[in-house]
Amino acid sequence: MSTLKVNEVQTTASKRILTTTGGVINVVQQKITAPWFGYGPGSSYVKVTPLTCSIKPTSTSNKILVAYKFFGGSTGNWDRLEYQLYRNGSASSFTGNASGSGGQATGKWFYPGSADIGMSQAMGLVFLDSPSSTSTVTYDIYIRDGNNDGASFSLNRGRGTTGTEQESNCASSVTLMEITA
Amino acid sequence: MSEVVARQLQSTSSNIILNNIGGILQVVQSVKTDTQSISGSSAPAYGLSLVTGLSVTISKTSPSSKTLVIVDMRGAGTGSYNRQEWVLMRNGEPCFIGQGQNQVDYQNSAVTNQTTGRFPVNTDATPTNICSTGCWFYDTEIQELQDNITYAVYGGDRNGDSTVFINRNNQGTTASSETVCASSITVLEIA
Repeated sequence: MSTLKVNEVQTTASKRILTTTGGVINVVQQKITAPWFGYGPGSSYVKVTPLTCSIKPTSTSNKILVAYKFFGGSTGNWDRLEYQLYRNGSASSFTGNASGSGGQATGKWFYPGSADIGMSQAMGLVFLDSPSSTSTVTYDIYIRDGNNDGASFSLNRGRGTTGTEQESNCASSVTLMEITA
Repeated sequence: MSEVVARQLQSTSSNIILNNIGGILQVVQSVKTDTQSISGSSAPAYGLSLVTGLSVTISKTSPSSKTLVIVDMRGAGTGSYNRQEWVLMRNGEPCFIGQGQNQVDYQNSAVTNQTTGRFPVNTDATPTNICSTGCWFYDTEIQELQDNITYAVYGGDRNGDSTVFINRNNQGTTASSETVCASSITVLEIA
């Protein structure tokens, strides 16, 4: 294998097309097409198992651009049905600043109103992480019913059934990009 | 410093691994983890106020570079939810908006309906609802710019009859039924 070592690459017109930072040197994606429904997470964060993806950085200084886009709905007492980004099983810093009894999270799971066939709104996040590691890094979405009052959630579908002509089954993804830094 | 001048780099198996366009030169991001409320009457610019924290500045390394701007935001509207909008701004001017019916009079926020996006309101839901919104904008109109470029999100109720909320619902932030979320704006410089 040949290796070319340089600090910068320019076109013949002197246009800079690669520097030592900002380059994308690896992309991995997890596609999730299976529908979930009926799961009540309780008050502690639990992993949304399909929404996981791993990458192995090549340098401790490199960053990971984490991009989630997923669909779903909720039912029951959905008010504190909240999700958070986790790295290697620990909560990331990408969360709101809460006080009092309020929950803090990256986002809230979508509530489709009173209709069982309500739309499945896109949720997600975009976060530039600095894992400072060359070991495999795993990102997950965790979810909880923060006040534990009986909420449940669906993924890739509404909260009705999946077999009627009124239902939509969607597809979700997790994309990780290693960025040189 | 080493310097290689080429149009393209290929692997030994002739796969293109770097072209003269499309490469990412840098990535910058700003994260907002606090909450904000913007009422229609408090919105000074284009009927909108800066969403504090959702502003990021990038200094392009080449005049010919483009930028990919990714807005990923959580928020909520209120009962009078019409016209609860947000706009992506570049250096203080809207850069990615719909084609409204009152384009000429854009400065008059009461009549224009051009916007990047709206804060979703689910009228079936109680005030504790929060929705996600955002955009991906490939900015190809900045080739003459090389100094600092600032992208920012502005939001508000543009007919002034209600309030929008960022990273929170329209009820509050401290009760056990409420959640505070996080949002981000990310800019990639593309060769």
